[in-house]
Amino acid sequence: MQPLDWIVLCLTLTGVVWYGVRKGRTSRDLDGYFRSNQNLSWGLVLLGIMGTQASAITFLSAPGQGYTDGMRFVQYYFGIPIAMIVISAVFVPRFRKWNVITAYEYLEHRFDGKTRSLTSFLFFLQRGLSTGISIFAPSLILSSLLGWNIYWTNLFMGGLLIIYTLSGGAKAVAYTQQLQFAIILLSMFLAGFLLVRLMPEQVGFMDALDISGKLGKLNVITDGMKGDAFDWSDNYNIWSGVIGGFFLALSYFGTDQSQVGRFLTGKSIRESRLGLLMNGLVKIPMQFLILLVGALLFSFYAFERAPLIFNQVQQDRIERSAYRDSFQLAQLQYDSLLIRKRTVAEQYVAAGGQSSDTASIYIPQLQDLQTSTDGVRKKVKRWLNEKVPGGDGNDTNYIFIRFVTDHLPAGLVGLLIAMIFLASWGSIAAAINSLAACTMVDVHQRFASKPAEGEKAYQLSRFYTLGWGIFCIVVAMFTYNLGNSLIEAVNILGSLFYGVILGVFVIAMFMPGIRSASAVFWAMIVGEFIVLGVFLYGYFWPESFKLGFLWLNPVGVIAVVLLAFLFDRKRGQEKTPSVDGVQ
Amino acid sequence: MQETPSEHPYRVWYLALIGVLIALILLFQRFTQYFS
Repeated sequence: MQPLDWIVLCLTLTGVVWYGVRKGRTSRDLDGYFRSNQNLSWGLVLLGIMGTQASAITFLSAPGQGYTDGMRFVQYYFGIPIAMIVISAVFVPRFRKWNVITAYEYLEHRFDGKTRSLTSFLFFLQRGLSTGISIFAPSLILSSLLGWNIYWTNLFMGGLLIIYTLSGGAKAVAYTQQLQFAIILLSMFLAGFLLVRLMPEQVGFMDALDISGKLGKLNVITDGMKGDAFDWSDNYNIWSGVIGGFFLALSYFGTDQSQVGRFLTGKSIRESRLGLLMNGLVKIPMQFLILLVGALLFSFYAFERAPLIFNQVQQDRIERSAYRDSFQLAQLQYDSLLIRKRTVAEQYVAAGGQSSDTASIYIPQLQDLQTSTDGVRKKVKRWLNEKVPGGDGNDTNYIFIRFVTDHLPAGLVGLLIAMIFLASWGSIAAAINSLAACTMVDVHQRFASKPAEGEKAYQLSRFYTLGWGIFCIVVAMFTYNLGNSLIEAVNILGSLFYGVILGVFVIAMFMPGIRSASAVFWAMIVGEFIVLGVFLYGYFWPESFKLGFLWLNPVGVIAVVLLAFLFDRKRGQEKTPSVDGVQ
Repeated sequence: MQETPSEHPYRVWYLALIGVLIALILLFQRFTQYFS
């Protein structure tokens, strides 16, 4: 990084912290601290929802996905608009009617205290650990790329945001997310624009798209078929995206407090709904554009020497291992394939590309060369994963940022690094705020002999915010020692719980006939074991049956709903008051 | 859930959003076919 990059980075980060502290002044009570007195406009609600969902990994991983696997990842978001409609129509009015601060509070009104406690416990477990990972994952990438100390990077990634989150609560989170999102969009736009400008002179935007498309990277819609049968282990196709993605989005946006806490800050039902619906409108096009940057990056590297392994630390590792000579041989082979690929790509463009029939003779050659370069990369990744001590062949998250540091001008590199910090802060701040809200509302206020009020409740909420902030940083620090297995475990943990939690909310909102709280509680427990069983079966016997993780969400929902129905029938008359019929 | 008159304008928004989703999927399909 150049001195100018450091100046841009420091100014941007301190500017955002200052803005958050300044804008976050609110009333000193629970409503002010966790719901911003419900006075925010739909624009702030929208940016809060988007800023909470989009973490640093979103902006690092999506272009990498576009580069390696193509644009089909966008299908993962297809369920969001439908989920936004259901949440606007059903969830929002119920949460507002009961004037809740946390989503789990609603479950006590509908069922009982133990159902509320169990769901908030699952939330603590999942969100507490995954927030630690959201600090660690981008820190690791930056420290690998720039040689920064991982512990200090963790501290800046997870620590600075605590200043404004602690001082201003939900209001500070919302206002900083607004500023963060503007900076993030500006940075991504500039990176995409320069990427196209950096292509060779004879290669236009359409040529770049064309090459990317011919080599399978513009596969936005896929049907998930493998031969004649549907591939259940495929995560990203139109069906898993619309159906599995719908359940995941419904669960994440409707029952995860880090999101519920955002739309409950709206100054009316209308503002909350508008924020959610606008999210449904803009999310897919935004992700499409981010993935398109990845697909264009792929074309860029058809004319430029692409690194064999984008993560420099891993490359150094393999060069120091017993596979050193094999790697050098693979590198030579890869470079010669790249030179041939570049020549053929240039001939293709010179012959007129898409619009010319004569150019089409180059396409099979390009595809063969692509298969060969993919083969070399696959081989080296396998060595890293299986043979090299401490090796990790997954470099998807490094592709975009490596391009930034290798090819973008000074100043912009600093801005893009700042963007990674800000994207992280947006989701981490919302997570810490929501964890503190649940601790205060679902645990402290509920179990304390005398619930706190006014200033005391405000001070306690700040104390819990600080506590969760420290906890998440500690998890991030430990993750470094435990490695990638923990990251994977936490990601899987999320998809294992989401379906079950959503199942409870579905019963609460759509099935007024089920009134037995114990039936729902036990359906949750047994449903969780069923989801775990399906997952473990696919994990240990993948040859016989493996389900893509998006499908685990509908499995969880259906299991809980059916079991609750059965248990309720059996238990019969244990009644709780119905809360349906929201006007 | 009972529908009230105040729900009515939202129904238009919901239908519009579904329409946008379908339009996007069709557009993406054309995009995929055009460049493949």
